Amino acid sequence: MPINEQELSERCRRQDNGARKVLYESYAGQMLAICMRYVANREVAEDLLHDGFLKIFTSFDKFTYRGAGSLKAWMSRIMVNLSIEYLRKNDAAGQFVELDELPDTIPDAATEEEVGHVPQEVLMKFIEELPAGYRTVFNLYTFEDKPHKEIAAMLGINEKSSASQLFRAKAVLAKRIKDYMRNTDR
Amino acid sequence: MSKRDDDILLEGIRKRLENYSEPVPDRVWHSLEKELSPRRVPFRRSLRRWAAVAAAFAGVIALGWWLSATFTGRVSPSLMAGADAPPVQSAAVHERSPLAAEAQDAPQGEALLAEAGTAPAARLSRKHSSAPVAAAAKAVAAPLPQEEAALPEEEAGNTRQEEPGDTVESVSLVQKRGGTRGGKAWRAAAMAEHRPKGQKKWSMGVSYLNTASVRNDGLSGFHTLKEGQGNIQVGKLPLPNFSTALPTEDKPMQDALLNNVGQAPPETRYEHKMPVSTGISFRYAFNEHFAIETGLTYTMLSSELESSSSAGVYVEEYKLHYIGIPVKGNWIFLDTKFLSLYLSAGFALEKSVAGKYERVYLSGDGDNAAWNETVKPMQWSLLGSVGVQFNATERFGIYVEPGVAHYFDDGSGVQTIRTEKPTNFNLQLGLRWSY
Repeated sequence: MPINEQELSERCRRQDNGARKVLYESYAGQMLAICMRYVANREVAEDLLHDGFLKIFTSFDKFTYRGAGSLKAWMSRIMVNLSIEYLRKNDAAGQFVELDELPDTIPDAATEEEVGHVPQEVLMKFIEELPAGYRTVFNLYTFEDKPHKEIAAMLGINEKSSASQLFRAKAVLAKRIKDYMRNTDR
Repeated sequence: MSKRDDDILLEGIRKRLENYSEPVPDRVWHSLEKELSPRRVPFRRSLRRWAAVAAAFAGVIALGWWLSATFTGRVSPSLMAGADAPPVQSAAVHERSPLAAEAQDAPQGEALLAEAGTAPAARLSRKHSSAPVAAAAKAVAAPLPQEEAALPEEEAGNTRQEEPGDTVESVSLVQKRGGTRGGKAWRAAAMAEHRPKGQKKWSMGVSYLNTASVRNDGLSGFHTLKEGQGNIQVGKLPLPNFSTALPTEDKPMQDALLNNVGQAPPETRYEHKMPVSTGISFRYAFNEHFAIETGLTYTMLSSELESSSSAGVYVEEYKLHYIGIPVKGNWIFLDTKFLSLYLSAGFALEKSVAGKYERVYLSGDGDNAAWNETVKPMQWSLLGSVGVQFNATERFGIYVEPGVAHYFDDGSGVQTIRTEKPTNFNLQLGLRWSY
């Protein structure tokens, strides 16, 4: 169902509760998915979703419509920031580890076609099952398109560490995808 | 892995999951909803509230004025002390001006307060046979200069003769029964001072009218605030009339309805907001009991509607501005210094002079629509009310008129609070000046 982003954001800015409901119903699922990718915990993700929407609803005066997709992008940024904040607060046992060396083994490459055959839910599971540090770097790099320099600044690690964690994340994912394809192959 | 492979893998994963959606439990929205309401009052409604506050504030000012007038009397040399000078002096400088009237009122005001303390029995025992109120009123209808001349003399004479207590009594008797110990002229003059509204021919007022809003949160089906053509269903919103509705947004609505076949029924919520109504009025009193009133009113009607279904959600908003002329007859059955009570009945004719209609699709296929629109036909209404007026001074008062209004269907097809509830109760607050 096409969403009239501009009208919706205008009405949400005016605190129109009807528009807010439409906004929520249109985007809550995707926003929850974003939170899940970062925190890998459904309960926590749902709480972040709640807090995130509260923040979204009350910060519409800070949003400017800049074309199709800008509304979703703005909302996603809020969710990502909340998730990162949560992860940093709950940085148990140094999930954002400093890794200096590259791994010994070089994983097999996974093709785009193979990725296309893995169901979305399974792919999500693979990401969620990544170790916390790898997962965050992976998410920020892949979905938020952040360069390592920025990721490093956000997480309080160094750039090299960010690059290694991404490398490892990719290795793990590639392996899991390959294994999945092998196991479900006819 | 080569760089190209890296990119392909990440790009593949990104594409796969960028629009992925997880199922969300209901509790999240419920919790959000609770935290978001009470809704912050939109600006429009704030405006309404401000208008109500302003009217109440004006009322408070009027009340303060009256109170200060009363308590000034308490401070100045009083009748109770037996001094003759003050009434004479105030009579001597008496002019028909609000200031002097106030000064005049003050000792009497104080006297009245004292009288309020006296036992009612005492008051009754002093009853004198008296010319009827009407006769006194006629006497006062005589040109002013005569009264002016008569007043200082008579009042001076009377005050010197009487004791303070007697003066108090006389004043109250004059008000209530028209009886007096003094001369007819004095009585008449006193009446003129203390029975302003009946004698003052012209009054002007400003007012604010308050009516309740109407809201319906669970109506089934698609609805619209503006019917193309056709019959109005009082108390119900009609379905959009496809054959005659405007071309641009017809088809999407049809599409929405068609898409909706076999799915959960669409739902509509709407609200006719509290109308904002203010006006000025002019009243002419034939005698102390009957007056005719007319004036000019401005009313703003605004309504909102939202229809939602799995095919789409649209909201409609309507704002109409009316200018109206009411014509009412007032029967004043009690008119004293501080209080007037009257019944009012009449009709009003209103015309919409400006208006805006807007329909916006928040989701789903649909072209938004907005246009300026005035309602062509005139709006007739019948009015009836009971009025209570508190007089701060003899020229100025604040009034409250709870009443009933019935609005006749104007045949325009526009759904407003008046088509939803043609007969409703309202409350008018206002200020009135008399000359």
